[in-house]
Amino acid sequence: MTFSVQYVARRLGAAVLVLLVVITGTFLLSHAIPADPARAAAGLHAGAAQVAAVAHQLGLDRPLWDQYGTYMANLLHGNLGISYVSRTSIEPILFAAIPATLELVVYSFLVCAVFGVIVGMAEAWWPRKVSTHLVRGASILGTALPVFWFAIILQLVFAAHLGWFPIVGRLGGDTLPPPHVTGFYTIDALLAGQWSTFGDAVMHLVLPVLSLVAWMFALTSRVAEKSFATELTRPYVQTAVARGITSRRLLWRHVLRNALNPIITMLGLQFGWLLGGTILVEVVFSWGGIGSVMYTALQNFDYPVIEAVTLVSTIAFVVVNLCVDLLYPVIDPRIRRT
Amino acid sequence: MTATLAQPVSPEVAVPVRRGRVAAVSRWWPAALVVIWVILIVFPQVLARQNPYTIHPAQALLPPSAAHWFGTDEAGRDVFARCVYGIRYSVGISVAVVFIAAAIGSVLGGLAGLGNKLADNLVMRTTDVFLAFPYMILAIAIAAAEGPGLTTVLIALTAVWWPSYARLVRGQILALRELPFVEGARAVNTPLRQIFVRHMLPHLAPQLYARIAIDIGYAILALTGLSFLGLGAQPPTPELGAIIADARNYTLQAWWYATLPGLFILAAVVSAIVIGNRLERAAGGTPA
Repeated sequence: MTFSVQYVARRLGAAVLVLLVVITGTFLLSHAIPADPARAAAGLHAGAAQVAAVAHQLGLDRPLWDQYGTYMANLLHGNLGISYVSRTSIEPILFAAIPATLELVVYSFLVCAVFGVIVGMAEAWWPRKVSTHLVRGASILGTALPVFWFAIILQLVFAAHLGWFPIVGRLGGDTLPPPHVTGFYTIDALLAGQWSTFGDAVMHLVLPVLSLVAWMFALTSRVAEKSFATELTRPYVQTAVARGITSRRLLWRHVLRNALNPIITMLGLQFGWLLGGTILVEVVFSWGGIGSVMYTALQNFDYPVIEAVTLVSTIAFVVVNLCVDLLYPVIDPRIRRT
Repeated sequence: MTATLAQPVSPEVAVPVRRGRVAAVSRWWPAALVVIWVILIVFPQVLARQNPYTIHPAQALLPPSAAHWFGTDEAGRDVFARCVYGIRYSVGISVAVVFIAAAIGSVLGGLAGLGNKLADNLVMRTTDVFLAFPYMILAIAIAAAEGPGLTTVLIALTAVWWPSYARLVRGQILALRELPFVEGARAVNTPLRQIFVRHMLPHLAPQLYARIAIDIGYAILALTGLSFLGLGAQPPTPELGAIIADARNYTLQAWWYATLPGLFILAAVVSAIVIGNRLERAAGGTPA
């Protein structure tokens, strides 16, 4: 596999540039726009002198460029700032929360990618069947679902009413978290050989993952269907059929690889939606990930935390899209040459 | 299975040709949908008989009944009335968001497509920055910085939404630029602004309308989401996302309170998507 070094370098350079601008943008958002961050930090009942003291303590009375310099220097040291509310550094809070969110997001992403592609493929292969009409109708409905509302419905029906799944959280009250290795409770439990903990973690994952998948799945399967349908009209498909190829081999070996590029592009963009959607779902299921952190910060006007979550989520999004860019030439050799 | 392959699937969706009364109905129902929503936004009292703000502490958290179709909330207010009045905020503001974003995006996209290289680079790099953020996260960050409220949500969502329109319009303009009628207009020294408004916009409009309709649906989802997080409408304003947020403390005692208002969101978004798909088909594309 000969990668064009130029291609990789160009994408990496672009990603770094975007990250720099994103960091600056996030900084400006939380330092330039809020009416008075010191007021928020000091609390509602603080007097003018107290507000001034807090502003001085947090460095908010210094010129903007000066604050920016400090902010960038801190970031380079992996320092995300200090929460206005708890007055402690943000990193420990975030690093404890990130694995929880990642576990939720990664499983949703995988479920959606695998099943979305398979359903899209089936729709393209057997077009105009009753079932595909049903799927299309369901996909419009799925796209129209407000994710937080759907999460509440699932919670009410399958957890509160039927009792099949736990209502909130990542583990039951009497289950101890497995020893920390990856932060994914499912994987850590398996590594420690704790089967009941694993089962408990999986049961807790089902409803949040379902809530997140419902919306994404509709779009994924539709894009996949379109992509497969277009590929199926190409001459190489007819050639392959004329050669007497089995349909399974045709779909998985020939068509899938060609149809994959637009699907991967869309999945990369979907990841951005997932990062927003997870906040809403985490609030409903009291998940304790960065969405929950963000929600608490929003209630308290804790700007540094909001800023940190924005930054971390955006970096994740940029990195995922960089990966997508780097995946193109692996999937499609034609891109390697350009 | 091989039969499918012998006659490859055509990418267009076959629209059955209908004649007579059925055709009239199928042609007009999207317009009828729009009319229904507009009536609900302008005259909510048509559907909601009760006042959405009146508090009846004695009637708190009553289940759905003939008097209260969606039951009552913790202050004894009629949830159905609150939902119907809430459409005004949830749908009304989303419509405003998308139209403002489309206007800003069209002007900037037009500048990028027709102007010089500098303008093009400036606009496109700006959209790059906006699109680098996950859009919900960016909207939350902007809304949080400005402080909660409906105006805030309007500004935050518009800021997040315009870049995609700028890109759409610019792309279309670059394609249209090469066509003979534009070349002709340029040859006789028509001002760029006039070329854009008179010669290009009519070609852009059908696609733009379809996109706007579908985006209104997505904007409703984003807006109710922001309100659910407490960034949008503040109490006692009845906004659909905010109603569901208020209901979260009572989901287990009063199932109707959190669940039924969502049906209005669902209905509004489905309407927007269906109308958008119809417009897209009319514009000659395949529904997304």
